[in-house]
Amino acid sequence: MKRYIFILLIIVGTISACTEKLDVIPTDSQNIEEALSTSDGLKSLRNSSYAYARRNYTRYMFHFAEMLADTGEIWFTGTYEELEDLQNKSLVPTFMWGEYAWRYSYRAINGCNLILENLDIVEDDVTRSQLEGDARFLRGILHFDLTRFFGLPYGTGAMNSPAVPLATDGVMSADDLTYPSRATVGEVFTQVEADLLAAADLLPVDETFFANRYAAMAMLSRYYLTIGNFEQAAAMADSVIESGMYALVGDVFYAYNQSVNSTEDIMTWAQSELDNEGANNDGMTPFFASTNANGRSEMVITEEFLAATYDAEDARGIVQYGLTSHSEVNTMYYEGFGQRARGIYSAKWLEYNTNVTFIRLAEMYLTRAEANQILLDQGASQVGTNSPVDDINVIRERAGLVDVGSVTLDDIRFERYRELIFEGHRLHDYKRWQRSIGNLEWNSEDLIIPLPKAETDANPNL
Amino acid sequence: MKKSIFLLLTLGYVSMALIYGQKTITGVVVSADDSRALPGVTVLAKGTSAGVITDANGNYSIQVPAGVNTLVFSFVGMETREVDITNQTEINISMSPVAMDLDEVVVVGYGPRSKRDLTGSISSISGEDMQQVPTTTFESALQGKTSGVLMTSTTGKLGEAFNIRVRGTNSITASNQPLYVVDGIIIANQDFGINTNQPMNPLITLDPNDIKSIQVLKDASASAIYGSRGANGVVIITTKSGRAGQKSRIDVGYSYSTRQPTNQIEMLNAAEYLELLGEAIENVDYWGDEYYGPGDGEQAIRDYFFWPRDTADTDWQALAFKDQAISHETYLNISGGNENSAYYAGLSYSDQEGLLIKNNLKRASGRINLDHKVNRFFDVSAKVNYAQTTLDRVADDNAFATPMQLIAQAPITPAYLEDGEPNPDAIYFNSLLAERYNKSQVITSRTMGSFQANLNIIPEVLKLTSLVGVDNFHQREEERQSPKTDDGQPAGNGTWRSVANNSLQFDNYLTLNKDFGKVHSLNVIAGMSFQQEDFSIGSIQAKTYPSDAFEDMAGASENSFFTSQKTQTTFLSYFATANYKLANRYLISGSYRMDGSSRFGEDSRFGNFYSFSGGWVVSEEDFMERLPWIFFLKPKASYGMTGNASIADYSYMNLVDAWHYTTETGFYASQIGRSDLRWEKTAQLDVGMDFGFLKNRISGEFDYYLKKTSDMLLNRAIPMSNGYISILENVGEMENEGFEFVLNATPVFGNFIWNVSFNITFNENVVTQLIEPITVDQSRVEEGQPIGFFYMPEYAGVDPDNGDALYYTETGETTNDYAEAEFRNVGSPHPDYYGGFINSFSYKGVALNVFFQFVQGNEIYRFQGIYTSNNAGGLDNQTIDQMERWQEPGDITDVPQARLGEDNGGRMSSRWIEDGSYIRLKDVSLSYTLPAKISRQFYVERIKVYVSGLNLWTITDFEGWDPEVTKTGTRQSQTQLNISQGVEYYATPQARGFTFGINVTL
Repeated sequence: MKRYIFILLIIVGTISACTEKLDVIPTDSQNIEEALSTSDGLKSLRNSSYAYARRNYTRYMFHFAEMLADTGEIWFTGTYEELEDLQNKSLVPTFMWGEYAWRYSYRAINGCNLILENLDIVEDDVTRSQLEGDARFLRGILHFDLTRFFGLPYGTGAMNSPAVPLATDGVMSADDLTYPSRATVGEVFTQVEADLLAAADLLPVDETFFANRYAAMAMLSRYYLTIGNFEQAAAMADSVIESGMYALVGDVFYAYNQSVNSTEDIMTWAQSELDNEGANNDGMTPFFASTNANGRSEMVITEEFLAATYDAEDARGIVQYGLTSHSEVNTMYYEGFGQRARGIYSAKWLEYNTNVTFIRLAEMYLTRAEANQILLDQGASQVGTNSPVDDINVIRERAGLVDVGSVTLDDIRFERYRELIFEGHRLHDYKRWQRSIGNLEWNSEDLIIPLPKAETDANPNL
Repeated sequence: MKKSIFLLLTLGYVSMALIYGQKTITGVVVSADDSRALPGVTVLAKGTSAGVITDANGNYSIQVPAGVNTLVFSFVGMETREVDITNQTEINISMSPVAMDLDEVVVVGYGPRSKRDLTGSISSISGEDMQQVPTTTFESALQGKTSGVLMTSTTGKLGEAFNIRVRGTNSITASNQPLYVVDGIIIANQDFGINTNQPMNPLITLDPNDIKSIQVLKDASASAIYGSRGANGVVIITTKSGRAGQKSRIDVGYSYSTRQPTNQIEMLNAAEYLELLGEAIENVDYWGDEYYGPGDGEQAIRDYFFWPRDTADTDWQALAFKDQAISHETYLNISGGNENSAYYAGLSYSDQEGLLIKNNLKRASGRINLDHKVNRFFDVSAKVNYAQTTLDRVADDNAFATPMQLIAQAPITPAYLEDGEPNPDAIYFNSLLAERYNKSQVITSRTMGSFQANLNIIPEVLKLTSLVGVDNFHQREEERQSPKTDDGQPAGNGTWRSVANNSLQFDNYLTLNKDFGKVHSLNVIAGMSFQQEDFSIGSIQAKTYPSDAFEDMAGASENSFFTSQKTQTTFLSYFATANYKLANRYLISGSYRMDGSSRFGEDSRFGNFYSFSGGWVVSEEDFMERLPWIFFLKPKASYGMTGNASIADYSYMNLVDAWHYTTETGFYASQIGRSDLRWEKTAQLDVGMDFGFLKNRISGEFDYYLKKTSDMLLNRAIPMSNGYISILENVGEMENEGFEFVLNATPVFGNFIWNVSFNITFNENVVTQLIEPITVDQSRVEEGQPIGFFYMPEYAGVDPDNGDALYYTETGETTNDYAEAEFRNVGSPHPDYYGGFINSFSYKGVALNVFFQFVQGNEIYRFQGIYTSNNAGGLDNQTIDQMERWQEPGDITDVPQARLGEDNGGRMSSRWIEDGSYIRLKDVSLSYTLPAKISRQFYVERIKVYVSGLNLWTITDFEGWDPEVTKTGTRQSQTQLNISQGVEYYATPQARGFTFGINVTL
């Protein structure tokens, strides 16, 4: 019997040791307060915010800007309901990509707000400035683009029309939760301008991986163009061009799909083999590419568009036929040779894992030309020394076209259209130009992405 | 070759037969009711395996080993009799029908109980019941046979999750699957599969042949001893053991099955396809004023979308299935024991082909259960099970690479090219390429073991039990995609994922059984339990292989993804239960359990759970002697509180998770939690009655229950403008109210026996409190409605004037503008009632079982209708009913005008909501047990041959593949899975077919 009592004692001893076993902490996550208590923690938050901003543009906002503006440039042969709805301009509140864009934008914005609220812990001034600059840059551009997609276009009366909630306070516990209503376009834009101006002031000039000062200025030029402040738009573009930091690449094909930023990239979203935005089902390349290596051949570029858009000698419009290997593609268009290929495809989105084109120098020339032309047409004086026709000829020369002697505002806009098409500018440009899309007026409700149903369900103040 | 191995094995076992015999006893067995001869009675020399079966005239002759002085006569439905044979050579006896259910011992939490004395509500299935139908998963043996338990196969694919709901759905965010306990060990039953495919069933490793019995604890009285984890019911599985003193008994069996899909959908052939699509392209004036004119639609379809060689008439759907799916299964069990020890050893192997091309499952399983009595104070038992399964998987139902999506392909496209290669230029990715060149395999190995020691402090009265158990689950998934397929581009992709879930359990408890005089009887169990579960996962993906010959990552040149993660969960519990019986008729029970879990914050970690119950065996009362036809009557009632903590670990914390920006590491604010997060609680009232009439020729039970779940764990959506999607909170309440009825009867008894068993369950689910509605695709949760009702615009048919699809608006008018349509409740995925009806007949050695299963009153949403039945809105092939489309003004039809590339009735609506009710001949089986004198010529005790038919006949109005369906999808959260029920989405139908088998007892 004694030995059984011994067993009994062992059992009792083991039982009493158990209670502390209930304290289990995660090993693949970290408590947020602890995580944000160091300078490295804030950098980590900054990095993920870039990653979510990248996802937002690469998978969603680029598609919105292109397909919602599309009037037959693309023949979409795939089955994605979201892309069909965009192209048919028949968006509904349950449009999932709208919800994802919203979700990832605000996730990145929350990261930015948490950085801004915890900057005191960063001792090094240089690091602190850059972190603050990054946070204000991302917060600024995301609020800006959310407003451009979910709000009425900036124009008569739009200042006071509802845009999106303005998020400027970090949320790190249940106590911080808010149920904001929509800020007006004007309110959001005021914050956007302040954020981007601050970013331009804070960001370094020589950064190439994250945003730098010129990226912030380029975004400011987009912002000022949007609100019709052409002097500032031209001035910002002028500063970027005249900084001498950037130069157009010789062959336009090499302006895209680069693992290392090209000389004309002012900012790209960094992407490598480690990331999965491009190869993801919602990315640009799966739809646009049609080679033996990449793409599902679903965005056929129509011959009508090619014929109407490019002169014969335009390097931006050359089509290669009869290719069999991915590596042979070296012009902007090619006859698809991927599975189920049905025609011509664009080479702007050819690779899965290269940096994502976001702001190119060409845009700055086109912006300066357009803003200056409007200023000149209004009888004001242009910004900088280059005339609009000079700027347009820079773009034309690179495309292998002969110089023109004069340009009109329409010429400049057409040049912008054919230079930047499929890069996520179209819808914003059309709205800015107050140009109708198909039979829809530029400010039609059908060209606005409905607030996500999931969000209006969760927030009674929307 | 495989067949001959099975044959060899079977023969090998048979040749091991041995005969024992020292003394011969003969006699005849008759029925006490009518003195007719009883054939098929088992006559056993007590304590040995020597036994015979009476012949058609009730005669038997048995050789009894020396030293055995008792014969045991047993027969299903009759009272077992033991007769002393000392100095006898002839024994003639009569047997009476018995209250078979009442003497039954069922295993409830932490010990066995007599079913007669139960005050809780428990459904039982014996191993013999299960063996009537060969099944590869034990869950399917429960389907339709247990009241209060609704089981739904999510799909006809092998190895995928089973949905089991015991008395309805209780939770929105936490799991609703019951707790599984095998021989006292709580085992893991969550899905461990990769989230890019559908949830898997981790219980496929259990071999049904090893199972002695399954009990489902349904009410609070029964399940409260499992406290926090009992709210969804508890499934207690007991495996087979040997008996002390039993001579070795060997069981071997083999079965062969053929399977086909229960149903296929009629799709358009090439001519119909061209007609409909041609009309669709003309209707939208696709080509503007180009070179096509009226009537050129078919040509335009060909020119725009197809290749010149597309002149086939392919039945793509047929290509998704094997012609015949063939399965083999074999097992060998040996059990026996001597005075102090008993053993059971089981081995089995099954090789099952799924209906779909490239979907197969193999399982090998071995078990050893040992019991040993050291002395009268100390006994031990050890149980070990090892099983390995290999599953060949196909892609998820939402991938073009899955065989079922072949039906989307155009019939005019050839499936294969002239050289025999799958055609790569079909309109969608041709999954026949995936079938030929891709590989996806899941290899699971699972070891479950327990060691139990009983210290009999006061033998027969007070016992200390200590149990250590492990459940080690390991699963490896390997995928390899060829560049010839969409998923494998550009140069081949591979995935290697490994999951380990190791659970350790340590229980210590005291059991007291004490009778005080003849009147009082007390049973008390009290103790503690600790469980720790460690989960870890490692996953890598690589790409760029020199060729498809390189299957593994050693051949890859680029890494594309890697991760490893782990989590830990611990539970610490103290429990007690007491059962008091007065005068063998008044029953009172109570249970209490305090549970602590690492899933909750420090202040709300412990929860208290309890139950009270009582029963009254009225039939024991003297006054009942006046009603001799009432054999047994026991009203009973219980009330109690159980809980649920099946949520993700660390949910109460505010966390950041890693997320990088290319090479720059990082993290993001991923979760906000409530530090006061606590247990979800379910209070349950059960009132019922067990009865037996006419010497138990008619018996049954009925139960009324009301379950109220409060403090519901709910992932509540929050405005995403905060940077998060949801927060887990204790909000909301849900109710399940229902009624269960079971009736067993033996209308004919004698040489010919007819048994009937019927069960039916009514359950009504309603969400009684919710902060705001939740929508998951087509399903919604709202206060006052059942969870997951279908919420979408109501389809109002077709405008006869212009062929437009119409929907109802809020004001009840119709509109052709989807945006104007009102979202409404258009149906419920929950059945009004469900159950089963079993008739079994036996005559001499022949037995026939006919088992119907039914589910009534639920709706199913045919999700794929937006593609397969959208009046040619896209290029997908259409169901045949789409030929009824509107064509000219005045046409009255439900199918709108065909318009290619336009939405005309193509969005989610009640157009594809259908009645999912069905009655199904789940199983009909015929078996024949050879007369003993024949089987003895083969030196074996018993030979049974059988043939059974699965799902041979179904009555349903459902127009999809099979009404037994629920879309599980990929990357679905538990909340989404709980809400989104009753949806068909390119789901594989259930199997139908025959099984032929033989069971031999040596």
